[in-house]
Amino acid sequence: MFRKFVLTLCLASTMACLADGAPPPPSSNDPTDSGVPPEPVIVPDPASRHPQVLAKTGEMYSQDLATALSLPRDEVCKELGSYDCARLAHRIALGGVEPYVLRIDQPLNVTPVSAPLAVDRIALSACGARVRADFAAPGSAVIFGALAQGGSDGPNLAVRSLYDRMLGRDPDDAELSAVLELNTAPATPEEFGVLACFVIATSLENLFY
Amino acid sequence: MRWPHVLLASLGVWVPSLAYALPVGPNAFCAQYPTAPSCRSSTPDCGFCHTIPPTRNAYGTALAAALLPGTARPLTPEAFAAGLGAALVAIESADTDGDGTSNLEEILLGTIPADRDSYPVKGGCPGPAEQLGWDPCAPDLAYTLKKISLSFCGHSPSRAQVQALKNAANPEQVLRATLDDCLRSEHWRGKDGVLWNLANRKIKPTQSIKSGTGAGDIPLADYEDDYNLFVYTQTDDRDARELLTARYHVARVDGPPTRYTAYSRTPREDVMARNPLQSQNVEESRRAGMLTTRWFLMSNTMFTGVPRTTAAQAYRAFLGTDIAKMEGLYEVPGEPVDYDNKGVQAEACARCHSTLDPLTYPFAYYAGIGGGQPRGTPAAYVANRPARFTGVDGAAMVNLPEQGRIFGQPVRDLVEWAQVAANSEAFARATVLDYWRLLFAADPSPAQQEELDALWRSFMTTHNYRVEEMLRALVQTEAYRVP
Repeated sequence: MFRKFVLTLCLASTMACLADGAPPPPSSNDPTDSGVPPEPVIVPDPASRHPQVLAKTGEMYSQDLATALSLPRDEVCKELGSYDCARLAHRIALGGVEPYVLRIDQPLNVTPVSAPLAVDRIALSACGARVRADFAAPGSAVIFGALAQGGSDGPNLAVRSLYDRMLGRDPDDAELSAVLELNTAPATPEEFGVLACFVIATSLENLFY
Repeated sequence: MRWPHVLLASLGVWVPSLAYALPVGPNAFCAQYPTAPSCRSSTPDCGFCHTIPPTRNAYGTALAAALLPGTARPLTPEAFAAGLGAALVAIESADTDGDGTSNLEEILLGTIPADRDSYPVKGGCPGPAEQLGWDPCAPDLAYTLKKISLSFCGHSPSRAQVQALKNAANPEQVLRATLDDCLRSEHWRGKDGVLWNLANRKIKPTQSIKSGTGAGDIPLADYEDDYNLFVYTQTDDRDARELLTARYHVARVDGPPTRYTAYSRTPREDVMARNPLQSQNVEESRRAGMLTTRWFLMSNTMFTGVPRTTAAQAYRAFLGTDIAKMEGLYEVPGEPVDYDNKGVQAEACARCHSTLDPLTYPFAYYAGIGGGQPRGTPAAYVANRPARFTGVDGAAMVNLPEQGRIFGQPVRDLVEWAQVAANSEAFARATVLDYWRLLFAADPSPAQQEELDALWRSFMTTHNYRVEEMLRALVQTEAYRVP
């Protein structure tokens, strides 16, 4: 069961990239595939004159997740059930400081390699907490009620609710269908809920501002 | 065989100093291009033409080749200055870094002609990006709301808030109200909040020697007094110069909402109110804000008779000038005197110590942890303190004056030192730059330099040194509002 979940999680990570706008790999079954790599299609994006993209700190990210998922801030993520992920365990990795003992008085200049792992752990923990609560009491569920009750529109409603709560907008058709592709066997409805939440919570749009 | 090596080594140091390290270069450059962003508030640094001096980057190499070709090297400073203008013009149309933009265009638009990753964005704006709703070609209100909410409140705005902004008859009013609410949030002004952490580099706390709440193993002073004073001076309608001139201290009651209240006690009253390991020991008439707190004096001056480290930290932390990087040098004739017999008159030392030592003298009258004989109250003003160090630093210490100099200007004591510092352009610029770095996580680009300069000048005038007024202006800049 755990292996199945990990495999599905890997799929979800791939989908996260797709949801962020990366083009899908070319299919090897494409009848027009001549073996020669096609010329890349470059779509001009509006370029920022002064690009200043900032990453949310661990505390900002946790606070946003708490609000989006209607969780108490202290229940978003705790390592070993005791150490708050953003305030303690991953504080420095996620842009925090600790001037008194560690003498780290400014955020690190370079994002450490452990930062993505820390983000994943916070997102998984928070998403798992919301899904567990909603599936335990579908009648008073916040996001995954219809999914927990087995309604056919449950997955669709869950994804739309997640976009609304986390990103403050509706998904477009491509985004919606990309996330809904996670709703296939072997994933159970509960696992789909965690994966859909994780994909959206770890999208670039939700991590940076 | 040894002498020729020594001679060559000496020449190796000397020849580059004639051939390359010519300080007239940046000024001559700015005389040629006075409107270049890199010339608006200062002059270009060495990195404009060099990688690590004397090694030149691509632009410097091209410039050297165009500079008085055929003339024997090394050039004299006079010949260098006379020929530089023509050489600059000669390579204006070249593209030395191969990024597709001419050197002249890069100079005038504020990008770097030696860096192929630094070039002006061309082609205009094709239109708003649909997916995120941001418009990278113009100030974007929704983007600004999100930045204000995250930077100052610590969380994203809700969808309803964004919609309310879009529907508002006066969206500027909504942004202003959001900022004002956030400036009162715990995220911004609470213990360990944004403002608190902005003071880390000024205070340099060390828990092991903290006194008061959460005392360390060797309690010497409580840095929370310093954090309280910092946050107090940066909030509400308060004059930020009091960071250096306050004669009061600040108490904090944790919230929410966290409250800061100014109070003044004599050293004796403070011992009675708190304890001897926490009390502020400088009498009111001798106080100079964060420069005379117990923590600042004990952690920087420690046991030193001539506390150069203390003065250098004050210069760096509050005025943005780092003497260790040869910044803010104002050589004073006749200095350094070397009252403490440390050999600072040596040629390699004298240039910096001619500024640093007179900068330090007023600090020498404030005790750190101890060190002199007879011992006195730590972290207090001591009228004859230098004389107490004759046994350690030599007889000349009795002559060390309380008068000093900052920015070349004579001051009679540390209180006047702090007033000159607080009223200086350096203080205003350093204060505003702190917030710029906080909100952008970067220094201003050359193209943004003009906005930064306008901000710190307004901070000194129309904002009347109120940080919150300055921040209301900062969030209206193009740099903040255009995605």
